[in-house]
Amino acid sequence: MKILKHIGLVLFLIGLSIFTGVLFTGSFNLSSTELTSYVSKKGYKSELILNNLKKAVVTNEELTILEFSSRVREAYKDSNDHYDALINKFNEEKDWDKKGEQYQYKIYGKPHTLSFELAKIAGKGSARELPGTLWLLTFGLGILGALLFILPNLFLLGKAGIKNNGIYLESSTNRGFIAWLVLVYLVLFYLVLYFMPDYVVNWTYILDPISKSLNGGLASQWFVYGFLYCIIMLVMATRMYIKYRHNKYQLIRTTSVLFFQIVFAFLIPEIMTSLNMPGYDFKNAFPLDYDFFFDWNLNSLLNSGGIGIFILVWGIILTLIIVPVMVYFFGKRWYCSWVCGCGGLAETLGDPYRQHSDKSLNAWKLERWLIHFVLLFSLVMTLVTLYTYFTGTDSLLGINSQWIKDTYSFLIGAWFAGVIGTGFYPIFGNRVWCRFGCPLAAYLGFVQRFKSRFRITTNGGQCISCGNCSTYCEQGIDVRAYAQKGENIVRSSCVGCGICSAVCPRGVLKLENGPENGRINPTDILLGNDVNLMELINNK
Amino acid sequence: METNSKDIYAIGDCAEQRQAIGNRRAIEAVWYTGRMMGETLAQTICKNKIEYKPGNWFNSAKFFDIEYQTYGWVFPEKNSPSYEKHFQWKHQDNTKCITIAYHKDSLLFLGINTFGIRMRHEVFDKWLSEKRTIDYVIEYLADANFDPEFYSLYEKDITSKFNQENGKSIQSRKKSWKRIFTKA
Repeated sequence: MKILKHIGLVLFLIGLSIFTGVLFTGSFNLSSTELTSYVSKKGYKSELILNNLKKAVVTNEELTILEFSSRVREAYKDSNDHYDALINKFNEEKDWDKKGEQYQYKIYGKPHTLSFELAKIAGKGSARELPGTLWLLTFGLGILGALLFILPNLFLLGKAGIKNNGIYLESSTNRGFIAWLVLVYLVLFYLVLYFMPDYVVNWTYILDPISKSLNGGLASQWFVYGFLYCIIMLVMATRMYIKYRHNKYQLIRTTSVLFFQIVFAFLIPEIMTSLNMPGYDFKNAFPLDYDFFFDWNLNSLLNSGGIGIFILVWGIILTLIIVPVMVYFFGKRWYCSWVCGCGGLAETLGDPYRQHSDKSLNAWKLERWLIHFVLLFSLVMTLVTLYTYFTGTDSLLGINSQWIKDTYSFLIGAWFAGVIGTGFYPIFGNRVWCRFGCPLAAYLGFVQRFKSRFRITTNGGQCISCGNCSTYCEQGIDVRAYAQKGENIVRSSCVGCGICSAVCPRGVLKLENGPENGRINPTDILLGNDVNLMELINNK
Repeated sequence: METNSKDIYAIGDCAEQRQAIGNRRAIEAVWYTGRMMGETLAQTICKNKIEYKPGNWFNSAKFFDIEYQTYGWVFPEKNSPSYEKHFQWKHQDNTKCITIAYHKDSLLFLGINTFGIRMRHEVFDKWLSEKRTIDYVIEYLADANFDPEFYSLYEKDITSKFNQENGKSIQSRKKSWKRIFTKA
């Protein structure tokens, strides 16, 4: 069994190496006709761009993706610089008509995204020509290796029950060298995915056949991300199924997050795209879905007929009615650890790292400042966006709509939710984004704290202060501090994963929905100690 | 707690009581009594002298992967008092078991041992203080279940075994929040 595990690990690492290495393979160049047809399809008015690009990438040289990308970006920059210079010139000459004319020649868009589109046409090499084989060598080997690593646990871990033995002795789960390596890999992955999509164009080739069969189009970097996300959750969910096989709550919850990720977040949007509808994740609620009220999304929905209007109304009802009502009855867990995609990844891929969430008071303070700031930020951004959308102006109270949208998308959407949120799993625990950043979690938290039937009940005086609950709380709640005082846990940040209850050796904690009355219990004296309470109070 | 020397206090398992309380031992080597004695002592030192009164006996443990809880007194058959009778139910998978001790004449509920099923401390503490009968405990056992959500419930099995052994026809009641929250 142990040998099987080691073979699995080796296979997984080979798959991961090929997956990473494939990015540096292949060559990129374009024929003159390919380029001309691309440029005319894009309808660029710039007179320079066609020639610039021709000089850059119509060549017999076999360019690597790095060379190709830098040449393409240079070509676009050169063209834009040219017209910027003209704009400046006419500006100084106060020739407003001519100045205004120049703007149509400028080409907007992120340089790496423009380069991605061209690279998608220009690529040659094994990734594009043998996607099936490469799929097996990357995804295939990765999945096989990971499963071989995970499945033997069914026997190695012994009888069903909580088995966290030795996790602080492993480099990978105790912030050792391996954990830092994983952090670096994940951070680089997100940086490239979000900011340099052209560098990962080879990954998109591998998934082109799958993308075509699902939505009819070629794979983008987001398709790669979505597909990878589902695969990782599936594989790591088998780990959850084995580890918590004695615990029905965990089994059902894991199945639920898997279902919502694969069906709602991945399949339904892909199928909608194939039917010429706007692809929409029906469970992704604003303000986590921060661009729901962006002008491009509103326009796209309003131009998509009945389904567009339905999505618009659904999105608003989801945030304003469904989400808070469900939190009232079940706590925010129904979303955060049963439905949400971010939560889904945290609860599967992130489970081995849950013990790293910081339980200190300072972390709690930071958490409250940050998460509520992000909520405020997202609301201000949305207000500005909607105001400018309906009035046609471009700013509100001096806040430029485009600027605040770009800033939020960059700082919160990409850096906080992606690079930090997932990249930092191995060191800071698996709920960094959910705990410190998610504006939806902040909103649900208010409802959970002040108007909900959910609580974690502490079982009288049974707590022995062992601290397992606090250790494994991914949200950094010091559960023990409540349990040892006999207090129920009613905290806005609790996502109801149920692990505190699972790891408790004395059956002290139970996640429950019950009457609001008695949810927060008085704890002058712990149950079991039969002090005469009236006497105690009278004597105080 | 106060000792026979002035200003010397003792708590935990170094404190021997002159007279044991109830069925408890004179030296209570159990984790939570140290805490309770501490709570009592804190009041005493703060010039609010109160009596040390540990309530109904309870305890818990975990044996490998099986959790154990106990409320009230269940004595081993060898040295149990003559009036004590036991009702036992065991699940066929050998990971869950409960033993309820009761008075053979009055049917007074004396205590419960449970393996593999979590029980609610508040509820059993209340039943012990209210001096309920075993029939009552069996009937309302669902109120006392503390297992995580979605776990299988065994109150019906337990009730039917009890009925069969004792020629009774008790109907197991559904869990009621209202009863759970009613204080003794």
